[in-house]
Amino acid sequence: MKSLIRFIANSEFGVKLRNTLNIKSQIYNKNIPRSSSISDSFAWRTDNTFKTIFKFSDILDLFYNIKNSYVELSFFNKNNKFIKSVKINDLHLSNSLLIDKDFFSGLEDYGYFNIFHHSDDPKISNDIISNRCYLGFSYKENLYSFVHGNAFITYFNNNNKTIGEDIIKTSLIKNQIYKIQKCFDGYDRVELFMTNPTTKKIYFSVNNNKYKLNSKCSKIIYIYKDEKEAIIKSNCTFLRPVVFTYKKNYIDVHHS
Amino acid sequence: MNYFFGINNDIIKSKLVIPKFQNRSPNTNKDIKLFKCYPDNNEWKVEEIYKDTNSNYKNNFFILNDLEIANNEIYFLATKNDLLKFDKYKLEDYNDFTNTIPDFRANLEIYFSDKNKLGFSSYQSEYPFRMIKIKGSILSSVSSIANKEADKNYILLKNIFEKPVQQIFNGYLVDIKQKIILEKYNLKMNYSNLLTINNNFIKPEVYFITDQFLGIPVYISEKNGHLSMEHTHPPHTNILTGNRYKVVKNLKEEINEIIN
Repeated sequence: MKSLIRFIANSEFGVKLRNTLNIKSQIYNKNIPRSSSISDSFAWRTDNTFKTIFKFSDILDLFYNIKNSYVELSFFNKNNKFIKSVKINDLHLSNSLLIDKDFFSGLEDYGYFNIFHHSDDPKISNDIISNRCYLGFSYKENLYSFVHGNAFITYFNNNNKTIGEDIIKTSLIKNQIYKIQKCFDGYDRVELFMTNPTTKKIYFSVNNNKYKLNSKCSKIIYIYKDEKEAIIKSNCTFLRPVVFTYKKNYIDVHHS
Repeated sequence: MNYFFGINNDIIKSKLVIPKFQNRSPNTNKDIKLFKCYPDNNEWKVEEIYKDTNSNYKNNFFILNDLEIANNEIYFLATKNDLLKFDKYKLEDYNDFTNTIPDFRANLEIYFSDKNKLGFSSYQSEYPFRMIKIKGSILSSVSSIANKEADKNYILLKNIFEKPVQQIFNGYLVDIKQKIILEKYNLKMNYSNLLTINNNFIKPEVYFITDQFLGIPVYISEKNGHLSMEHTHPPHTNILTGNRYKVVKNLKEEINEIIN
């Protein structure tokens, strides 16, 4: 009987119900298979003069001395429409990729991308890896402002070659609160770059302004000048935006 | 529990904003106070920092500016009752107010001491209590965040150790492929150290390492009055399972041979 209850409680609906009732809520799926490479949904921007630079380490070489692995990056726009994928075989210990409008054949937009490490080497068969990676955002050709990866969103399993989704969970109602621990006083403009980390439609509000996002879609939310704080209420257990703050032509990008 | 820190020198100054609320239950904690702590003659000195504002939103944060921040100070949230546990010879885990999921964040915003340069940049600045109890070494990829195209690059290395000591330890830039030391730095314990990185050393095979003590390596770049700041992660955070500590230990031992 106990095992049946445990089975139901850990089922997709059971987790959603627990999150709805706030009973032993589960933010993350803890059952990620071994030999998986986890990725964030990394933000990219080529809108409004932005350029994005992506930096990542060859963690399989660094930690496991695996020399023949490769990475694959898949890019999606703000409506979760697939744009392109890039495979990089010739990896250095530290690597960078410029994502500007030329990278997307002139596209000025924003969205997200994933990065997965691919290897069949048995040295990682018992491990789960997650490359934290760094994003730099340049506004009006100025210095890149760097921010690191922020969450576990999706994974590629090197054993069965499949992609797993929904590491982050949802609830049935908008009962998940995240209050950004930053005071927004003194900035000319504040933007919250939100990406739905799940395959489910999510509903959320920022300071009582209501929004919805389809699976893996992104949206930039503006914080009004008189709003010094931001409270996000949603049906997603881990909805944390990347924050862009502006003073004149100067920007600061950080995770919330 | 987390400690927080800032930086204040001739190049960089900072503003530290610490919320009085947790991120998932955002009611302001009216009992929580802000304290600062610093080593003095082999003892920790502690003082409450009194902050009084009339603004509603500012009442939800403690805000320290400019000269209210010193490189040898650390800051923490506690109630007056928590302070009954204060030991002048050893920092303690006073409460769990900042033990949250998602992680509790403050905001450390840096800017130039030269007021003609208007750039700014921020990161969360929390220093977990578990890090202050242990000795160890840092391993941080320089080219992960440092910017070769920038005018200048720095590492802000904050060390907090549980004992009120101010001894010197060493940091190094090493080329892990050629197995050579490129630069050696003297670092102060319980201090916000600012190290200059030669742009020629910003290469994939160059790592910043320390020989005895931990700290948080925060990379700062400046160009044309703009600033960027972000920290690198401890290496074991890239591996979630298996022998992650063993894998990282083996790597660190191999790299530490360069400096021994």
